[in-house]
Amino acid sequence: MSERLTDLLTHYQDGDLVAAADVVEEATAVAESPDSNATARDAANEIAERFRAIARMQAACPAPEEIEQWVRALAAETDDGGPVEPDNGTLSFLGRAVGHLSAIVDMLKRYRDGDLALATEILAETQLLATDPNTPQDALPIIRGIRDTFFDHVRAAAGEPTAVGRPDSEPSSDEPPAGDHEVVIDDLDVVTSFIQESADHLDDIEHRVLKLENEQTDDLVNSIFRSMHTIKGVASFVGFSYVSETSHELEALLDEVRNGHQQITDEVITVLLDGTDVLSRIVASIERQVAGGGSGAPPVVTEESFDHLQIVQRVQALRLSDPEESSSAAEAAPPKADPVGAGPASGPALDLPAPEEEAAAAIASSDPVTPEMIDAFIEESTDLLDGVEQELLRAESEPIDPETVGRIFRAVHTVKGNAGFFWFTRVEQQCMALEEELDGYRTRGASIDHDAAGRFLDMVDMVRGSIRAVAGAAGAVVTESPEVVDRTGGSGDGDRLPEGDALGKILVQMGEISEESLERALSRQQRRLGEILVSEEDVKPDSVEKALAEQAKRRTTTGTASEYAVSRKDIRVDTVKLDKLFDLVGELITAESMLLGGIESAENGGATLTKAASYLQKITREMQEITLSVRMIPLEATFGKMRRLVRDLARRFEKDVNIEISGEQTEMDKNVIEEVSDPLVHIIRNAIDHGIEPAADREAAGKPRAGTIRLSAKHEGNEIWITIADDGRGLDRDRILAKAVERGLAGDQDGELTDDQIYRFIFEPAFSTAGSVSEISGRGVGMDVVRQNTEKLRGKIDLSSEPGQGTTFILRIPLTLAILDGVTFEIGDTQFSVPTTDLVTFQSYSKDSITGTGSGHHGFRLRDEVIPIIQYEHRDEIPDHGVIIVLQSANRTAALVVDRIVGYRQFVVRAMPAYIGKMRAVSGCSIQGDGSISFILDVAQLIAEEIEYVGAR
Amino acid sequence: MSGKVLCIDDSPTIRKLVHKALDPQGYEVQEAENGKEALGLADTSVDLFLVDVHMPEMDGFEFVESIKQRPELAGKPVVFLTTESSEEKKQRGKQLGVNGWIVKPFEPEALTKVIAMLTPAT
Repeated sequence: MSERLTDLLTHYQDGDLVAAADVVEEATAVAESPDSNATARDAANEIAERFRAIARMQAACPAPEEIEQWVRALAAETDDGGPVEPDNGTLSFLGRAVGHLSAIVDMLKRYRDGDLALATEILAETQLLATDPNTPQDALPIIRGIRDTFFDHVRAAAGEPTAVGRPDSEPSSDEPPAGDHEVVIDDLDVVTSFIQESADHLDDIEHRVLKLENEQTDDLVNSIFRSMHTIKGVASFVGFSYVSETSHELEALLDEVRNGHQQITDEVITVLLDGTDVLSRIVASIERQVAGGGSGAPPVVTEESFDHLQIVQRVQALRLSDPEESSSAAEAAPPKADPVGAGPASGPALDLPAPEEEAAAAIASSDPVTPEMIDAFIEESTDLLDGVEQELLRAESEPIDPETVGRIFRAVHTVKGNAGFFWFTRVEQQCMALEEELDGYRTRGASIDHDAAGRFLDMVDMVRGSIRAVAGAAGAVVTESPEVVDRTGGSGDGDRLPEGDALGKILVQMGEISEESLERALSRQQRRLGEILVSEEDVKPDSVEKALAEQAKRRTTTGTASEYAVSRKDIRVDTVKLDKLFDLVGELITAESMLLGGIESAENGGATLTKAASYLQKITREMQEITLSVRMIPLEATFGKMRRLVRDLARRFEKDVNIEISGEQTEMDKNVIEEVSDPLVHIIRNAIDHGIEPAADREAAGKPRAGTIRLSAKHEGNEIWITIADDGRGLDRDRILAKAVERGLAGDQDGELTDDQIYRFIFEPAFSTAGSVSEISGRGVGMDVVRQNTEKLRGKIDLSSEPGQGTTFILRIPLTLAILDGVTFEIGDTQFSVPTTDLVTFQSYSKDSITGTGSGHHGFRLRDEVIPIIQYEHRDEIPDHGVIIVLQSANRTAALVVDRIVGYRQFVVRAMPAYIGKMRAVSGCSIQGDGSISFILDVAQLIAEEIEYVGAR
Repeated sequence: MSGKVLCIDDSPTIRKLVHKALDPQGYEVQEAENGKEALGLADTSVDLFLVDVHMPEMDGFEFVESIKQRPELAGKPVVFLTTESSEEKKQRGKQLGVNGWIVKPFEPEALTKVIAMLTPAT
């Protein structure tokens, strides 16, 4: 029982308090155990005392000699008297063990998959050692691991339940199957510690292998070897045979490298990295099953293969050959892992047998982790990563200084630490990778340049993807997005769930599979969708490949970093604003008592009452302002996303584009900002796709090679103006006009259209239908979305373009949706209001400014223009006098006949009460000071309806 | 068991977890977001400092340097909570007079075991 204590003592590292506490605990147990003899007890007491003192810094760390002494004393526990002298029994065991072990090692070296006779022999040898009571504890896990692995092989080959025959796609090999493999979990703690430990090692391995490319030192190779060795040992101990098989092969390869039998070629590095990747996936999948579910211990976890045999084969191909021939042998080896996993080239990936069963895992956790904590984690991490991304994007213009690097590092570090607590191994690993690289810069005091920042951004994206997966699993609110952009690969790995959906949908759309097949496959989402569909013979491999290509294409058109966004319901408020609000409530209470007091003394002339009322008015105004400002947030975050978008799109379209941002501190209502984001994305995407020319063309035109997009925001009266300007080729007036005429949009007046009117056709829905659009060298894609969103915000779009010079959009958005400045008027007995942003002018009219058009509708002469007259109630006759209000929306102007103007005021927009029923072109209502209702007209809709109405008559 | 632990970590999640581990054991846990804030809270009523290494404003090293200069606090045990595996960092902590470290992520039991070992038994 003192073995663990001995182990702890020999591995103790000064300062490791957990180890120290373990030593104290173990030593106390030994000291109190009735099995211990006097020597061991005394030693144990001394050890416990000493380590308690060490932890409290009252004693020095023991010297190696002291530890040796203790270990000897503890060993006396079983052998009452002095140091252990090996007896004959021990010696003979050692002799036998050496024989067995060297035999096993020898056989393992000779073993090739499928060699049943040898496997049986290995099984027998390991079984002997595993059951020998003299076998040292340390060696047992490895021996058992080897035994279990070969047991599985033999059983599989013998056609036992785990065995699934492989199709003859690989005639040269008949290795054991790579279906999913169920592992019974005896002890969840062990499994979780396995996950943790191997994840740590895999992460280390990956980094060291990458380093190996530049720096081939023995230390490096040794450390990779040791890590791989540990993974193999632990995995076989727990029973994860795919992990142990794969790590075994990789370890063997590393051993050859270590001994100088194998050169570190690109093939070696690639297979090491791919192997590490496969191991990480298997471990991550186990981790998900262990961490992903409800209550009760998971009796069984499915160990997914992730095509590990392909790695095994590739390593064997490398190992088979002599060092001199290794390069040619490597060429003959199976191709590099297809990240998508369903390409026809990678035969084994497609030939995976259907899984015997769904993963059975009622999951376990005695962890004190609540959903609320996971939510907190997701929010905190999202905030931190947003910050990191913004800092990194600055590198697009200038290198990031070391101080900022420190800030980025700390943020990533925090995410990593937190992820570790929840066993979000994948997030943790990715953060760790990021952190380590950052630490390099930090310790060197180096700056991060453009290229490095790009690499870091990709890594941040991966972390975000993983967090999103966590969020999805935890049921947190995530913006709807059909897929996750996975920069590491494709539909094969961790983020498979949402992606599988998209692939399935595409296949259905292509008519390659039915909904039913998709449903069936989706219900087996433990596996790659492409593989399942192929294995079910619902679809041919090359169709899947086509669909994957389509998926990739769709990603390039829709996939941007912004899709990682987690939608937030909370808002960060400057505490100064909150304090102010609090003060105002205090004043409000004072005003209330003044008012009450004033009513009492009203008979004394009412002076106090008047004073109280004006005081109250002042407070109300201030409260209104501050409450509005609470909802106001800077555009910074949204603009920051555009920086990222430009970077991603520029790479995608292979153009050189800079973005210049100004006015990002401008504040807007939170709800408005959310709506503005989409139009910005569409405009910028079009600018890069169609507006900005390829570098060569630009140069030929005498422009700088790199295009520039300027994004700015500023206050302009009651509006925020967001300007998006590019210096590209400008809109192609003639082609837009031709298209408009073809679509019947321009009518017969094309000769009279101004440039501005022509450009506005790009906002027509017809212009945005895919296919025809990209033919137009101007804009088109999604521009109607831009218009719709902007109109929803009661905003307007100004557009100007200069051939060869570029295009400028100005989105003019009202400051807030909730409170509007507007004009209230009466039509009949009903009061209406329109926001001033929709209002051009109002004036009394006389009959002679009205012209009949003969077909029953009327026009109004406004200066030298005739505009249509709208009658809200469609009266046939225009009253002799009244007031005309000139309204405009989307650059169309119309006149509304009203009976009386009530006045100009601010009004609070409310939803229409249900009992009022549907009214024509009304978007909401507002309660007047006297309690009556005024309806807020939706001017855009009103004008659109009128045009339709007139057209219909 | 009893005692007052000042937990200094910029991550609210970690602080919450420390609470969860130590509250049931009867410890009083006080929180600080960074070294600077913790300096205001550090007094003789604290029995142990649980300190994250990387924090904004004032990191773990700076914080420890400061309290070691205050004679009434210099003798209090300090435990680093760290994900840092670098030997150099650990040694720097030891030199500053930190009792030792707990590597994140840790089991709640490991934390309570260490704290029990370092705080006065009742």
